[in-house]
Amino acid sequence: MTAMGGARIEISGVGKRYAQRRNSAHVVLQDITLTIESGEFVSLVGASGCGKTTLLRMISGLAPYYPGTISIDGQVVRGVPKRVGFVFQDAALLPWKTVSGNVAVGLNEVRGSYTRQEIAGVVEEKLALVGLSEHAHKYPRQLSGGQQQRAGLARALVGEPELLLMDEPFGALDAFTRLRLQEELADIVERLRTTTVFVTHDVEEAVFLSDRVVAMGANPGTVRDVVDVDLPRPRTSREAALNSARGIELRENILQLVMGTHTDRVAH
Amino acid sequence: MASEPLDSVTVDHARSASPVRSPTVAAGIDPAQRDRWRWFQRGLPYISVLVFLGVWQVVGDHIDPILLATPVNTAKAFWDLLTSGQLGPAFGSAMADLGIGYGLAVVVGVVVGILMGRSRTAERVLNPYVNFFQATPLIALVPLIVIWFGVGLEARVAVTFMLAIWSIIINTATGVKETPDALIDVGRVYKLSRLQLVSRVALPHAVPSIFAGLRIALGKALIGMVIAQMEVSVSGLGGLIINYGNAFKTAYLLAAVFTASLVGMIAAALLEVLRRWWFPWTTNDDRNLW
Repeated sequence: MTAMGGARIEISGVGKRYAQRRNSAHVVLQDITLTIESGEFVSLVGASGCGKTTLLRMISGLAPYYPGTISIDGQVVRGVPKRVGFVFQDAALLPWKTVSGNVAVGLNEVRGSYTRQEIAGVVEEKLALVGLSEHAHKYPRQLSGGQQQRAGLARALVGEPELLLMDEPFGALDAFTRLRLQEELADIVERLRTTTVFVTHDVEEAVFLSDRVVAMGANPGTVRDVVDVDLPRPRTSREAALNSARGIELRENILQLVMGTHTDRVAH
Repeated sequence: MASEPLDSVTVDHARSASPVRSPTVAAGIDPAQRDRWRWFQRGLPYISVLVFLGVWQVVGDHIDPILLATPVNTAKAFWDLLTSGQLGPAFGSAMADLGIGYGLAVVVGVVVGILMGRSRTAERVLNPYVNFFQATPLIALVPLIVIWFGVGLEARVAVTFMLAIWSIIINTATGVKETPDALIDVGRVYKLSRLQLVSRVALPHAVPSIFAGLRIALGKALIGMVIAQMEVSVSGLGGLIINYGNAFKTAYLLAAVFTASLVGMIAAALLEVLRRWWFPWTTNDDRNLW
């Protein structure tokens, strides 16, 4: 398993507003400035409406037209950048393709330079990575929610992306599956070290997985603070990480930031 | 235990006969009785048809043969048409008119539908015409088509085409338009070109809608074909129907009508075969009703 390089993202003075009736505008994001280093795992955490998904989509090139700039490795983002993997909230698999077929879609960008066997090989490898080898020939409707998300993850990873973007990937799953997938993702992330931007409203999830957590507030969407998660790596156990003294401190701190009840007495 | 007769089963019997109770037995129903009921249920359509044929035959025997021909006479008429060489060409021309007209409608309809589904501009430009023709009783346009196309194959194909195409356009456009944004996003993130977004995302998603449209359009095309064979030219199956109708030869009339039904059934079966072969993941429910 080769460790992938990672993109470096610079977000500067970025905002987003939607026009509404009667000349008023809904400001979804305001003046976001942020740098994400190569190989970092950064979570965007906040309540609904804080613009975290919008920001993610802007980084991915899916939502253009905004003031400010977003650059990846020095290049301003225009359209979808190269070698991006995106995991959607509800897997978004193509129902008429098998699991293998869906994962292969992730290779579309580089399809021309691979033979069919090579493609099949890489797809198999990534399916094994997410634990779906036995389900390669099934259709999405035959899979559980957790399995569909794993397939979505495999699709995002198959092209060896420089940048991994995940939009509340475990949000639609039941609690047990969610916990399990968090630990599996932590393991994968440990091995691959791709730059990852992870959107969630679950503070614990963010603390467990991330190097840094961006706590966002809503109305308008802004960055309230960026917290260093200095828990030891590798993060193999949720228990150990989240219930350590430092873990509890971080969770409390970030939760208060997100809820807007932060006071200066809690050090970070 | 095995020698006990099963005409009345108690729960105790069942429990001692096997360790696992089937739901039928647990409910106190005799399995043999249940099987007989199932066979009866399956046979009902055939029983119903046989009863109907019987009643028809009896009624037909006691009624003016011009009003109603019996099944037996209709069958004889059918055989006569077949062997005298009238049915073959009529059947052939019906299939040809239907095939060409419907085929053209499918090709043009799907293309226009995709265009309208993907392009707001195209949709706004073409909508007035689609809505107009969808609302019009298209048969009223047959005389106009005769003026334009004459009374030959082209005209009959034009009528069939005209009746079929609107359902195809509407259902295709709806299916393409309803492609979930998430799937389009997937395509964009993984660098599908605009053409690929249509051919590899929107179109596969739209297939069930398109097929619903194809099924409805086939029914309309069939009507168009028969009307064309009656009004545009008096030829083929439509011609047989009109002529025998005018001559009050009811048995032959009915035989020709059933042949038209046969054409419809064969075409529908072909469509179904195509669907299962090319799009095995789809089901048969109709999602749109125009």
